[in-house]
Amino acid sequence: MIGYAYVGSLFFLTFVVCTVYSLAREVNVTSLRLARETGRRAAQLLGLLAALAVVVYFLSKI
Amino acid sequence: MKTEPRNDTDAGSSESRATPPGSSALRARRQSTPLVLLLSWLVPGYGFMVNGHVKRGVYFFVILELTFLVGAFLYGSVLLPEFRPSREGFNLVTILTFFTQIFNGGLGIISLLPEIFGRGAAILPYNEANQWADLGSFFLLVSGGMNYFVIVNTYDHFLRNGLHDKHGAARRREARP
Repeated sequence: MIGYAYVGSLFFLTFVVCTVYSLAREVNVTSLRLARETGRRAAQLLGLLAALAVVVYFLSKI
Repeated sequence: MKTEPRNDTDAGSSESRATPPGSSALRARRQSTPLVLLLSWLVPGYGFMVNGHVKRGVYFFVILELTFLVGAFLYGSVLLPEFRPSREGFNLVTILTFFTQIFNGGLGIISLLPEIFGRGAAILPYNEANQWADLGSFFLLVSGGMNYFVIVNTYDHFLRNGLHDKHGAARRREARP
């Protein structure tokens, strides 16, 4: 149960971080562009975290 | 030369285009920079609200306080670290965690109360031994870190060089040679 909560938290906190980052950095942009930038940053961050998870998984097997 | 229209999430409102007398941007001009930053720390998004970006400030407030409260109800709390290097519990990571979490401002202080005054002063759930407490503390860490980021951006966009209005950053860019 707690493992699923950690995975869910990963998505929720990624959304929080990317939304706040986009809202704070880009003051004079349209809502649509803001949403697109947030999505792009969230995808990048999740991709990076997934890559790190794979590296850590293989390191744990050594 | 045609200039691109400046838009915002609050762009539809008349408030975003003009700053009439008595508007929030003018009120911000009367407040000192340290006061705006202090209030931005206590109330996430205050700096944006008072500088004309009301909707954006409310978004910050809702997102950051919601994240904090989710963490608090997962038994996460701001814990007072051991600051004396000679003591056994001294740990740089817990000190850094404390400073990041305390950037939650008002709710961060409320969460710290039982650490200072005992369990009786706990308003939010407080049980650091609970299995969910680590995850909850991580939520507090993220919301605190993001509030720090919002405060820094408040200063960057509106308060630096004494430009206390929403177009301050744009004006500075235009003024550069």
